[in-house]
This record gives sequence, structure tokens and C-alpha cells, in this order.
Amino acid sequence: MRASQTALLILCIGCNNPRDSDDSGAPGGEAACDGEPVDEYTPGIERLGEGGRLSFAVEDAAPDPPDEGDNTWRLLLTQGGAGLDGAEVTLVPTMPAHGHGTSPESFQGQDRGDGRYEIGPFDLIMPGVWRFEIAAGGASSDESDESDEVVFTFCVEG
Amino acid sequence: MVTALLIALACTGDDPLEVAPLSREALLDPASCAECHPDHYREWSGSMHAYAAVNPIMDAMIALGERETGAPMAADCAPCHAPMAAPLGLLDDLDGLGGLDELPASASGVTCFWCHSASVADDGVLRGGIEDPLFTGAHESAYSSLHDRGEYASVDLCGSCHIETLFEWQSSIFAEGSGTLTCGECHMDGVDGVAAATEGAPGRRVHGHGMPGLSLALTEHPERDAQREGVLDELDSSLLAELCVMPDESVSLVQVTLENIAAGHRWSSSSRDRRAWVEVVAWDSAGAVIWSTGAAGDDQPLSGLDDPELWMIGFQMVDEGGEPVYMPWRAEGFGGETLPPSDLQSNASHVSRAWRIHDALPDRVSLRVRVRPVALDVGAILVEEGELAPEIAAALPTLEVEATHLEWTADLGSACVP
Repeated sequence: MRASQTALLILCIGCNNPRDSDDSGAPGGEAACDGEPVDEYTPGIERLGEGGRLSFAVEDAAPDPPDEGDNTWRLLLTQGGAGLDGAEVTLVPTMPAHGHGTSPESFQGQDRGDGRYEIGPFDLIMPGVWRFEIAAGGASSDESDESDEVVFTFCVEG
Repeated sequence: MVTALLIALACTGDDPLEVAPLSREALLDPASCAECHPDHYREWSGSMHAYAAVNPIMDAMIALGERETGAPMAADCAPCHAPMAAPLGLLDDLDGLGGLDELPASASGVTCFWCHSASVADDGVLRGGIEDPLFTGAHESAYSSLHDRGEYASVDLCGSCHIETLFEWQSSIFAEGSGTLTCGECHMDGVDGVAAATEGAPGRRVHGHGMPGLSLALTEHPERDAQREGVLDELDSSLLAELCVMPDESVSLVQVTLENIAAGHRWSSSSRDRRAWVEVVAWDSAGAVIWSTGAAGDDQPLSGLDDPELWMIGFQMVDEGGEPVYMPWRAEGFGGETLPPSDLQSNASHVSRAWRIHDALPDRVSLRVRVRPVALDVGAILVEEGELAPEIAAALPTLEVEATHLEWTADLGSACVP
């Protein structure tokens, strides 16, 4: 009876494989994001907004690269190469594969001057592909000139 | 003495190829691992895996169960609480001991050797999730997908004991497609470091071995603060909550919605001993409580609440007459509900409950979800039966899911928070 219990326990390891094993997950790699298109994070990664009016750069991230748990970013917002102050900057992180975001859902940037905005801490609650929507606007009365948004998609390895 | 010398030699040699091999006796003892894997050992030593055979609740339940049923139980619990007991031929020694806490270190709890070697093959090879392990001479090393948290196969290692949790995970969004996350990807956080503290060890992505879930040690145990912090971190990110209030002088409506967003299994697992519940309290403008549900003190069992509207989240064992029982051998079935994980069909898992407040206008309403790894009734029964020290039962914790602590105030009108 006892020997059979132990045998059953050992046999159970490996007997349960409800889908084909994914062998592509290299140890120490980004297995949590296997096959998903993501932006390769590098410090200072920069992208022109969807409206082509503002440029968004993740100038500094802590931790670097973004990881599971609390994260704080320093964004650099520029227009025509010059830092843009006084904007309302909002970050909305979501995890598309799981259909949820964070709690709270959005985070406001703190204006640090010279076009720099600090956002966070925001809690990335699990590894996987996270989508970061960043919107900026309200820096002047002519909002159409100084509002824009951008999306970064990073792998959070965990 | 000789073992200690060999261990010391194993990790201090300048040439990793020339370190002395560890004996089988040394490999079986988790303390031997600390020399070369200090962080892994420290984390594991505070884990519930290390506590599995000395957990006083479990030992008291074994003692009471053996007394009430006349049947030996310790050996039935050993495959998961002390899995090395069988390979070491110690099962027969457990008869009549009334627990597992007398086992030697080599068989106490879920040991390093069990997970990394004997769970696959008791051949002295230590297996891990690193494809190109460094040869240190201390022991043979090999890659195993069972130990690679990035591999689907790794769920089988955890699932060999956490069987119900594995089944729940299999039907969740965590088990399919781009959202796949294995047990280890949630419960073993990654960090850049080294796998072994040896000369020339390459940088690796290594993983926490504290493996926090919900349970906590009740007696002296290493790393208690770290383990509690890990559990609270897991809890805090596990649920999203919404509190809606429609105030009215005659009948106000209060609705709470909970979503299990981060547990790839039922929340708070299918353990019959868990207890979670929703506490909602309403005050009037003078600061007096006008209505509440789930308002249990930290030392008050839920069974003692006169609260027909209580939203309890957990399974309750029942006897043949349908009355609540707390010991598994007394149970004929169970009922209750837990929060399911998101599945592929709904991609979300919202559960709501509503209450009415009659004839009093709320000025402030607060919400929080509270959880007990072990129901206080379990401890109370074991104390009453003389199998558990009262101070251990008194140490059973009541935790709070901080992210669910929400407050509505009258200035918001009919509204939901957040």
C-alpha cells in the first residue's frame, strides 16, 4: 500500500501533459512571452506618437528592464526635439492575453521639468506580454498640436 | 564532521572541476545545499515545503485522526508532506507516532533532494532548469524540463501533490496560448544571480525557492517575515474589487464585485481549511455603524458569526447530516464557493453579491476581503481535543487583501469605486 502510494506519486510526475509541450522556452530566457511580438526594451527606447506630434522615450526604468512587481519609469516627452513641460501624461498598463490591467488602472505622470515625467510605482502583477499605452496632452491651449499617444509592448520575464 | 569538510571543500576550490564530490548522505540533507546554494537554501528553509512535516496543525490532525479512526494516517500524508520518507524506508517507523515531526532532516518536508533528484530518479543526479549546468564536482547536474518553469512540463512536478490546483489551472487562461504561465512563473519570482556560489559561476536567471502561497508557519521557523511579505504580495495582486453603493433613505443597495485576476487556480485554492470572506461596513453621518456583514474580529471564527448574509469564499466540509465539520475523516462531502480563474471562454471571472440596507442612510461604506489560511475552527477543535497547544491555535493568522480595501462616501452619490 505504502510502496504503491510512492510509486503513484512518482508516476504522476510526467503523466499529465494536457497539451503539446512547448520546448522553445530557454532557461533564463523569456519563456513567458514565447512567440509574442514585443518591443525589445533598451534604456531610452523612443517612439513617435501615433499622431506624429510628440515623441515618447522611456528614459529610465526601475527595475531595468521592466519586471514583475513595482515599476517606476522616467519618460522624456519632446516636440520638435525640445522637452515638453506641463503636459498631462497618463500610463495604462494592460495584459492583453489575460484581459486585465493593473489596480489602479491608470497612472499619472509627475512633471519633473525639461520634458521629463515620472510615473509609478505601477505593479506588474505577473510575467508575460504587457502593453503600455501612454497618452500626453493639455500642455497648451491648442491641444491638437500637443496631444498624442503611443504604445510600447514589453516582455516582463518575472 | 567529514560531511561538513567535504561540503566546505566542494565550494572553496579555485578550480570548479576539482571540488570534492558530496556523499549520498550529504546530498540528502538540505543543510548541505546551503554551502554552494546559500540563497536557494535560505529561501527554501522559510518555505512551507520546509515546514511540511513539522506543521503543528497537520501533526495534530494526524494524531486526532489516528485516535478517532484507529487507522494509521502519518504514512498516508508522507508522500506529499515528507516524500523522502518512503525512499529512505522510514514509513514503517511512522506507525503510531501521531505525526511526521520526528523524521530526520533528510526526510522532513519537501527536501531539495526530493524535488531535484528523487522525484524523477533517485540516481544522485541533481536536476534543474538550466540547460548548461556548470560541472562543479560536488554532484552530477542535469537539465530537466520538470524544473524549468518556462516549460509546460514543469507543472507536473508541482501538480504531483497540488493535484486539485493543477486541474483548476488546466481549465484556466493560464494554461493555454499566449497567456500561459506555469506554477513556477507565479510562485517562483525570477532574479538575475548565480545558481551556485562557486568560483567562475556564470550569471543565470535564478528563481525564488520560498514559493509563497497563502500558508504561514505558526511556530519558530526561518525567514518568517520574508515569507509573510511574499504571501501578502501574492494576495494583494490576486483580486480586483469594485464597491457600488446606491444610497436611499428607505432602501440602499450595496454591491461588491470580485475578480480573480492573478491566481491561475481557484481563489483562495480548493483547500477545505481555507476561509476568505467579504467584510462590508456602513456608517451613518454621525459615525455609527448602521449595517455590516463579515465583521469578524481577528480571533473570531466565522462559525460564531450571526450573519446570514455573510459572503464566505471557501469550501465547507459537511457530515452526512449536512452539518459543518472540520476534520476530513468526519466529512461526507463539502459545499461552498471559491473564485474561479479566468477561462478561455469568458476571459474574465467576475463574481458579485448585493445587499440591502433598510431605513438608514449610509454616509460611508467600506469593503475589504479577509482570508485565513486555516479556519480558526480547525485550531479550536484540535485544542479542545488536546492535540494542539492553545498558543499555536492563537497564532493562526487573519490576512487582508489590501487591494480590496475600498471606501465609498456619500459625496460620490450613486457610484462605484474605484
